[in-house]
Parts: sequence; structure tokens; C-alpha cells
Amino acid sequence: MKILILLFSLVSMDHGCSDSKINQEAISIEYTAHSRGFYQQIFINKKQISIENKRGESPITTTCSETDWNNLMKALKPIDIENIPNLKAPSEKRFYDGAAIANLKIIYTDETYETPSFDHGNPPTEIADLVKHILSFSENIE
Amino acid sequence: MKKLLLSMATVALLFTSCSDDSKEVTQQEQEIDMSDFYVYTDANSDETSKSVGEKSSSKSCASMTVLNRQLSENPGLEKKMYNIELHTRKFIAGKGKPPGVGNGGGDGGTVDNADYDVAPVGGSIITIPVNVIIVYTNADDITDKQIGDQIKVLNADFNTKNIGLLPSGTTFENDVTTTDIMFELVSVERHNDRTKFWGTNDSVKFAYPPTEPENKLNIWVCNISRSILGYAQFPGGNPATDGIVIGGDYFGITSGAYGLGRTATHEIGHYLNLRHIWGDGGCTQDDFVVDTPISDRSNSGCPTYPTVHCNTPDMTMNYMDYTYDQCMYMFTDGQRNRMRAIFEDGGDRALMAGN
Repeated sequence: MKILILLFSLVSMDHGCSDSKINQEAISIEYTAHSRGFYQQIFINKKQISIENKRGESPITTTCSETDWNNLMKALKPIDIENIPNLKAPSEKRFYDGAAIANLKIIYTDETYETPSFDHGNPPTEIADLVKHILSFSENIE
Repeated sequence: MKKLLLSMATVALLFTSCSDDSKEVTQQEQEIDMSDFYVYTDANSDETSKSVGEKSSSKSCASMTVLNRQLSENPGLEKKMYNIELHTRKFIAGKGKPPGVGNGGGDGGTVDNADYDVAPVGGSIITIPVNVIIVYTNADDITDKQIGDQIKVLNADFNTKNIGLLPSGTTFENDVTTTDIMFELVSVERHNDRTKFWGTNDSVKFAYPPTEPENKLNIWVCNISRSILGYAQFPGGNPATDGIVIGGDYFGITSGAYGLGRTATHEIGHYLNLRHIWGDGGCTQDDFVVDTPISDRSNSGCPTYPTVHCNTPDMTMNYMDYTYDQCMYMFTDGQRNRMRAIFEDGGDRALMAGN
């Protein structure tokens, strides 16, 4: 719980973290979308963005720029991270293969917070902005 | 029982408050356990325009908003799907059911390890007439042979037990089934259309409407998207979009991991009211089939046996998982009964079987 409070205070700072005792490098975000015949996992931390387009294959990796990272932190800021396991998918097209199955994980040190599955392309409102940012990285890299 | 009554009451309340043609759930229906039923919903992504992080004061209010919006977009659909599920369970229960229909429901999250053996319901062979609608820049690229191969695959998959393919050590031998559902090609439409990707919003169906969807299975063959091989519509949906859509690269016998025509087998499973075998949720969310093991995720590729989730080996060889074509080769008796219920008197596709 203390870690969470620290995390929130960390992401509350829009610029710089040199004074913070929290290690921003301990934050990472993982977005996975899969269906029958499709797999994509995007993994982002302060240093790099990795995209895996096939299970078990080595990912395409690129540097995470300071701007990218700061934008991501801004999108993360309004999210009640502890509550993301309770988010509700706004649509269920994945039940009949009308959408790939998406999951978002936010990891801080040893704690992992994961959303329930939702339709790729229609995330819960609370995380929509963050997901948009994450997916924009993948589009730019591909 | 209290929980059951409460959820029945909740469902009744939902339909009373959200739907115009609300009908009270009658007393006699309460003997069927519907407590684990989750309703299919379909929504547009208009919500994403709202500002992020704007938390509503109450979670239940937010989900009610979503539900209300979905209801207004699909008036009557939720109620219809609930009724179809109720009809299905009554049919199965009436045929002498194994202990507990809906084995994921109301048990407070305990995992059920028993090897349920469901007795297949009887009945004659049901033959479904099929209309194939090819939509490609050059529609002749999908050949008559490819269409014929697909029909052959469907008839084989729905009517072969493939016991010999099961790995040793499974308890699935008593579950494999033949559905006695057959498919007969009655017509083919070809439309030359340059659209590159049709997506999954049914636009191909509106551009090229189905033929007699109440009597025929319509299969659209077109490019869908990079991430989707095929998609379906559950029973109870709009007749104008009823049927399945398959990407041409996965239709009939083609090549690659999804080249054996089993994308159509999987989608027709949905079309006949089957859910994904893992129940599209965690260990307590069921696929409403007693003799399929509980799981909390899809499997991919060709998994080795046993692949254990929720403390039991997954039935990765079931057509309703996400594995490669060559590694899925069975329906269960429970799935057979669920599919056949749809064709029974009062079932959503009864007309198709002449009932």
C-alpha cells in the first residue's frame, strides 16, 4: 500500500524525478492482444519499448524517448492503478471472435496490477488514453 | 438457493427497468439455475471520447450506464439471449442431465475436478443448408473446390470422434462426440469488390445481405483484418447479420497453421450457441458446458498434454479453443446437446431443422 502511495506521488510529478525516492525505472507497462492467429505484446519501461509479434519470438526493441515516457506517465497519472483489476470491459465482441482479446498490466517493482480481458480496440474508459498511447508506439515502430 | 433467487430477481429487475417489453420471469422457471449466465453485449466505442480518469462515484452506476446504452442499441437482445439460454438449459435438463448444469456458477470459486460424463441427447440428423457469399476483388479466386473442401471439413468435424488423436492420460475419451449436424451447400454468390479489409463491424453483411438467414447458414468469405481469421454471431442476433464470416486464407483447405478449414468449425460453434471453452473469463466463469474443464485462458499453437489451468488439464483439442487447426479435433457431448437445443421446438434455429 505504501508503495502505491509513493507510486501515485511519483506519477503526480509531471517533470523530473531526481528528488524522488521512487525509482521510475521500476515501472513497466505491458499490453497484450491476441486472437486465434494473432498475437502482439507491447512492453514499455523507461529505457525501451519492445514489441513481440509472435509468441516466443525475440521482440523488436527501440529506445523509449524522454518525451514518449513523459507522455505515458501523464496518461498513467489519472488511473487508479490499484483498481484496474476491477475495470469492466465496455463491449464483448471477443466472445464471438469479433475482436482480439486485450489485457493491460502495470508493474511496479514486484507488484503487478492486471485488468480483466477487454476487446482490443475498445478498452475501458478509465485506461483508454493510456492504451491509445501504448498502441501509438507500436504503430510508429512497425 | 438464496443467491439463485437473488440473481433471478436481479435479472428480472434489469429487464423491468431497462427494457420496454419487460416480462416477469415466471415462478416455474426458477428450477433452472441461471445464476452463472453472463449476457453477451455489443457496444460501439463512443465511450472512449470521455475524459480519462473521470471516475464515477459508484461502480454499479457506471456499469448500469453501459448496460442501458447497450440495451438501447440492441433493444430486446439481452432478453432474447437470456431466453435462449433458459430454453437450452430446460431442454438439456429435460433429457436427464448430469449433476449441475452450469458448473461454474454459484460455487464461490471452488474448482470442480470431477470427470463429468454427459449423455448425448438423441435425435435425427439435422442438415443445415449453406449459402456461401464470396466477396473479393476477383471472387473467382475462391474456387468451387475450396468451397467443397470446406463443406467436407465441416461434415467431418461435426461427425467424427477422433478418439485415436487424444493424447494418453486424458479423461476426454468419454466426452468426444458426433453432433449429427450436417451441412449442405445450396448456393454460392460471387461479388467482385475491391474493399481491402472489411473489419468485424458486419459491413460486409450489409453490403451483401444474407439469403434466408432463418433457413440457411450464410457464410461470407472476405478479407477481414490482420488480426481476425473469422467471426460469428450468436443465436438471437439480428437476422440481417446472422451467419459467419471467414477470411479467404482460412476457408477450405489452404496452407499454414490455420489451413485445415477449422476456423469455420469454430465459428459455427458460436453460431450454434457455443462459448469459448475457457468461458471468456476467470476460473469461475463457465462456458455453460458440463463436460469441458474449467479454464481461465485460451490456448494457442499445439499445446502438450497436460496444459493445466484452474487445477485441471485444459481440453486444448476442443474446436472452441484457440489452438492450431491440426491440434483441435473434438466437440463434447455437452456441446452437442447445447448445439442441438437450438434446433428443438422453441429453439432459436428451430425453423432451420423443420421444427
